[in-house]
Amino acid sequence: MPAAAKSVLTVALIGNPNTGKSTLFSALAGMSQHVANYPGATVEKKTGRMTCAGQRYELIDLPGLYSLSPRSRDEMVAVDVLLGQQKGANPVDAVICIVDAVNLLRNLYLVSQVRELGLPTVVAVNMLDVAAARSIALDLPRLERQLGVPVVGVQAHRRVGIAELKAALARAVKDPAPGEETLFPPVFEDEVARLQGTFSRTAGAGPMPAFLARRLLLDTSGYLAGRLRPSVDGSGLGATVGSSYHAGCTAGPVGSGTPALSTALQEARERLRAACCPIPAVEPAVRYAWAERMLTGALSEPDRRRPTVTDRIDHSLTHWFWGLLFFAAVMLIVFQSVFTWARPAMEAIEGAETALGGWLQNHLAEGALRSLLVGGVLSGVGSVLQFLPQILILFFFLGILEDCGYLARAAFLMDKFMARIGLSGKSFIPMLSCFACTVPGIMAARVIENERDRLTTILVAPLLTCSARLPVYTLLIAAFIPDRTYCGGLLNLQGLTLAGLYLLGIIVAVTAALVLKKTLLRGQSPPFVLELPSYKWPSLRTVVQRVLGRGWIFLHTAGTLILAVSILVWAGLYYPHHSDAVAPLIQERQQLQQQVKQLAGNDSARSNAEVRLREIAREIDGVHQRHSILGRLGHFLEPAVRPLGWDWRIGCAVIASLPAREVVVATMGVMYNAGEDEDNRALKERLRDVTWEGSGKPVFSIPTALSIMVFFALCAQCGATLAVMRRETNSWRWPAFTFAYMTVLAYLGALATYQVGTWLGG
Amino acid sequence: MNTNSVPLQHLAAGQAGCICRLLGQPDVLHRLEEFGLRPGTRIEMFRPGNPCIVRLGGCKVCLRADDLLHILVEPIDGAAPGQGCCRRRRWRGGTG
Repeated sequence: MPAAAKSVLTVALIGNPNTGKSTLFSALAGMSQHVANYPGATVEKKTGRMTCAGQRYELIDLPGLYSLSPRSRDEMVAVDVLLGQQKGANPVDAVICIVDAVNLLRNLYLVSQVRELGLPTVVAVNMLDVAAARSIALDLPRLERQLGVPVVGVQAHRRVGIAELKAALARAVKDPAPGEETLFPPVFEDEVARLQGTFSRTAGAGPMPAFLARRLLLDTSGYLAGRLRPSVDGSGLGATVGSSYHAGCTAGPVGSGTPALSTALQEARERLRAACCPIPAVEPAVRYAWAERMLTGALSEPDRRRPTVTDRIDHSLTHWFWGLLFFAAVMLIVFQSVFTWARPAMEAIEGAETALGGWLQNHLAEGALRSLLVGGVLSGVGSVLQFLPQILILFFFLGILEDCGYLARAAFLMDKFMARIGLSGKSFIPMLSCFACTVPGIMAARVIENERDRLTTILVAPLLTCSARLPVYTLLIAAFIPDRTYCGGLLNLQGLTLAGLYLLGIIVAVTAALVLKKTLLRGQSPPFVLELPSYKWPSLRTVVQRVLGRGWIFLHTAGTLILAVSILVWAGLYYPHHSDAVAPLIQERQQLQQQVKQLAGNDSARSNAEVRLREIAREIDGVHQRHSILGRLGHFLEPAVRPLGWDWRIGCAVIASLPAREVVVATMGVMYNAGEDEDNRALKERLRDVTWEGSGKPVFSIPTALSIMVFFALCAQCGATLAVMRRETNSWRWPAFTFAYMTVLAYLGALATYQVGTWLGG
Repeated sequence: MNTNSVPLQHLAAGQAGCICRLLGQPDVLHRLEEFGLRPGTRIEMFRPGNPCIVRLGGCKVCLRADDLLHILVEPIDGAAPGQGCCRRRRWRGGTG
């Protein structure tokens, strides 16, 4: 037994979705959980440790799946882990297969696939209490005899049966059950044997395991064959998307493996079809027949099914009217809480940032280092942390909704609407989350297993108006949109403008989704099939663990990038930092400082001098930024932004807001010598007075303000979004594409707004 | 094909049927059959429409039928679950 000789054995936990797998994992591993991503994949890798009878185990929680046919990202990773081909995961020594007592027949399908791996296997039957409540009787000892592997009844959420499960695992590892006979007809097994011969000849390696040969024959998508190619680069998203793109055809062109292997597979499938053993239809037939044999005499179900609590709840919650009403109420409460709870935390982070910045200002000498720490590092860290409260709170609520089973109902309710734009109901919650913050929205898109739908959702997500756009909107609307009311005070022009901007985001997002699904991400989506799990009380532990995991992934992946871009933008605004341009101002400052020292505290001349000193400080900042690299870039780009009604300073502020769009307010403040103050009152007034250089014409008019707002409604000025997008799609291709298409849209939108606006305004 | 078979969408709420045939691409069908949607299985309409909710085995499933997938069922009129299905297996009424 080579497995038992190792000091730490790797145990994979596998099971259908909604079987209580995460709860069982927590019960087994306790607090020793670690969440990361598989290298080169966007699938979460959850590991934990446990000890039983002196043997140490490493537990791997595989994604919940119905079958080992590798079609989705989750299934591909699970198959790769089980076959020992996944980077970053140890070869598996044993498997715990968790099954749902209420749904045993379908759960045994996966068990039948797992048992062919030839690994020591234990079956944990969960939800026995639910089964008992439904008068489903299970004879576990008989099931164990018929299955030939240890079967243990557990109640994961009550921690019942965990010790027995561990003991059964230890027994199974020490004394593995003998290999089972095949389920497939002889003609199929002949082909498996032939394939085992072909493959060892082709690759020059040892004989292929029978399990792998069977899966190769059954996997008509060509994914597995592609993985077996020696130099295949199958870990990137390109390969993942590719194989699901072509999942419809047999022996797909992407990743079809070594020519000899793919030809052999195709020929074998042809021969099998001729012998009335069609691939892949033979698999469900033989496996379900086996599962039914296994359950014979072990399972007895009542003839008449009584309505359960879940049924009663579902009668209301999936109703087209009451269900939608309830859903709207839930969403309202969630988003209200996200905004009200996140605000104090965000203000606290901002306060700490300001306090720390002030302390640094006072304790460090003026110069590049201080400016870097305050303007680059601190503001970068601040803008990363600013996102965290919203992300954590949103995922807390989504976690609760998911864990209690409601999220599937929400997907059902929204599917009708989402189907019209070519997506499924599963895209709705991620998109809705984007109105709070695009980052958790994109992360929440992991629940969409269809790769094209997921990509479409992610690519249009930044178009939906997130809360970071609000500072820009409120500043410009308050400064330039007249405060007029219509319909007896019911409608307000400022409010209408804001609503219009939200609507613009939604309309463009819907259009973009439609266009993407018709062009770049074209292809037939598999039918929308979604299991609606029984309702249950959410487990706080599971929810909190998930929230912390997501928060960490954000800090880890997006945080570093945002920090880097913040420092780059700081450098762009700081250097070359010539002192020639500010020499007269510095001279004046010195004179004033002398004056202030000499004057008495209550002298009006002294307070005038102090006011002037503050002005000078702002002007110095402004002069430096105007002469900086970015300032020059702004001058250089002015011809491009002039048709939008912008002067070079707006263009410059827009470039500086690349890492985070809300920064544009502060940058404009510095650019226009208004400084940064509490409620931007000075900035609002300053903006109204700004004139084009060389003429007395004001820069800001209603069309210009609208053009800036339209630009910010449509642009992708958010480092965090782009970084998370890279993380979730595993490539720079998609964030680059999103940035490009959104910037073009934003430019054209702003151009149209300004030109039409000025034309209408005469 | 059985003449009594109708598309799944024709089942009324609470009405049960037996899946007679699935029509669609082989790969799509493979996935659905693995999921438990296969000929001979009893299916009960819970919430008709598109998407609809059906009861399948011990769970509820939300399904959206489209051009890619046609599910033909043979309605079971007023019969108790476990009876009258075209290829209903009787093996489950075991000793328990």
